[in-house]
Amino acid sequence: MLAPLQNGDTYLFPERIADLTGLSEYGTAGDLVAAFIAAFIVGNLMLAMTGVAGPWAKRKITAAFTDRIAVNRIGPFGLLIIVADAVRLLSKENIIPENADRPAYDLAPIVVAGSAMLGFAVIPMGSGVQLADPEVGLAYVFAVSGIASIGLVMAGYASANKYSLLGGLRAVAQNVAYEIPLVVTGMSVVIFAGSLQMSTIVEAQAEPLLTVAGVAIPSWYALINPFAFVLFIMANLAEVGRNPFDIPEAPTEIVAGYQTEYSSVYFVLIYLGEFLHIFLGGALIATIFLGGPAGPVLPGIVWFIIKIWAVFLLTQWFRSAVPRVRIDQLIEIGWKGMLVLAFANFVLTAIIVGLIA
Amino acid sequence: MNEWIAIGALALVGILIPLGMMSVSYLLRPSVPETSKRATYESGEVPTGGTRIRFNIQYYMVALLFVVFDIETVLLFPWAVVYRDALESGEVTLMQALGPMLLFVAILVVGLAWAWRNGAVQWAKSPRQVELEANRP
Repeated sequence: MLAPLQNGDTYLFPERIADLTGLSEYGTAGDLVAAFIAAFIVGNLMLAMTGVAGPWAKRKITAAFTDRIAVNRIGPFGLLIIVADAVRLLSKENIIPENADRPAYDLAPIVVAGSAMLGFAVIPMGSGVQLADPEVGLAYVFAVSGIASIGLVMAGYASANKYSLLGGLRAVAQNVAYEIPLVVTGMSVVIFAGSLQMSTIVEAQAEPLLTVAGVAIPSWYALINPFAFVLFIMANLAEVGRNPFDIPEAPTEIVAGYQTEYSSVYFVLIYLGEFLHIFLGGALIATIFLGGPAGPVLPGIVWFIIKIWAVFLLTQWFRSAVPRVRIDQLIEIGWKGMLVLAFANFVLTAIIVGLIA
Repeated sequence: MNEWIAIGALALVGILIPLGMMSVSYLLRPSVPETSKRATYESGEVPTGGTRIRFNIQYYMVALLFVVFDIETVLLFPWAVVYRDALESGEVTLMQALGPMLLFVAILVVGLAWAWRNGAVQWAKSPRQVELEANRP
C-alpha cells in the first residue's frame, strides 16, 4: 500500500495567524493577509538572526578562537554594535563603478538576499512556525537555494571588474560542483523517510532508535547515517561558500570576489544573503539530520534556533581552524571525491534499506 | 488555505525587505559625485584592458557536467520517494525495485569515469604550470 501523497493534517503558521486574528472569516483576502503577516514574521526572525550573526557573533566567535576580545565598547557585550553597524553601512555613499551593467548590477543584491529568504518557507521551525508544507518540500529548498548562483554571477559579471568576474565564476563552479553531492546525500534521507515533505521527514525522526538507561535516543538521521551527515555538512559548507571552501571571495587572492565593487546598502544585501544562506543550510541540516525542532524540555523553536546556531558555530570554527583549498583542489575534491562518495552512500543506503525493509 | 500562497508571500517579503533597506539607505546616504572614485578597482592601479577577459575553459566543462548530473538527480528523486513504500507493500521484489536504479547510476558512473579519464574534472593547467611542476625537484 503506497503512502497517500496528501496529508493535510498539519496546522500551518498562516492558518494559526488567520485563526488567532480572526482573519479566517474574510475568505481569500483574509488568507492572503494572514499569509503575508506570517511570512513577514518568519522573514524578520531570520533577518534578526543574521543581524546578530553578522556584525556581532561572527566577530566574537573569531575573536574567541584567536584570543582576542573583539567588540565590547557599545552596549552590553558590545551588542549594540549591531545597531551602530546597520546605521553606518546604510548611510555609506553608494559608489557605482563606471562600466557597470546597470540593471543586473542593481538586481543582483536583491536576487541574492531574496532567494536565500525563500528557502525558509518550508522549514518546520517548531512551536507551529512553518509557513508551508508542500509534498515537494526538500526538492523545493534545493531548487530555490540554487537561485543564489544566478545572483552571484550577475554581481560578478555586471561589476565590470576582473576580480568580480573571477569571483562570480568561481562561485558558480563551486556551487555546481557541490550541488550534486548535496542533493544526492539529501536523497539518502528521503529513502529512509519515504517522502520529500518536511513534516513527514521530521516525524520519521521522532521514533526512538534505542533506549539507554531509560532515555530514548531518537532516530535522527545523523545517528542512523552519520556518513551522510558528514558528507552533507561538507557539501553544505561549499554550497554556502565558507571555509575551507571560501575561494569565491578569497581575500588574499581576488580581494572580495563578486562583491568587490559593491558598497553601501548593496554590500549589506549581499552580505545578508550570504548569512541567510548559512542559516538556510543550518536549517536544512537541522531538519533532515537533527530531528528538526525536536528536543527535550525547551519549546521546539528554541531547539531549532539552537541547532541552527550550532551549525553556524561550526562554520565559524572551520573559518578559524582550516586553511582554504585551491581552485584546482576544490574541483577535484568535488568531482572526484564528494560526488563518488555521495553516490556510494546513496547506493549503500538503498541496499541497506532494501534489506531491512 | 493553499500553502503556495504562503510561499508567494515569503517571496514578496524577500523582495520587500531588500527594497525597504534600499529606500532607507537612499534617505540616509550622501552623494558626492566625483569621477575618479567610480573607476574600476584594481588594487589602486590604473585599470588596464577590458573586463571581459578570457577565462579558463574548465568553468564551461564543469557547467556541462553539472547539467548531466543535475538532470540525473531530478530523475532519482521520485525513485527515492517510492522505494521504501514499494518494498514494504510487498508488491515488488528487492531486485525489481533496486535493479533499475543501480543500472541508471552505473551508466552515469561510466560517464563520470569517461569525463575523469579525459581530464574534464581535472583543473586545466597552463603549459607554464606543467613545465614548472615537471622541473620541481
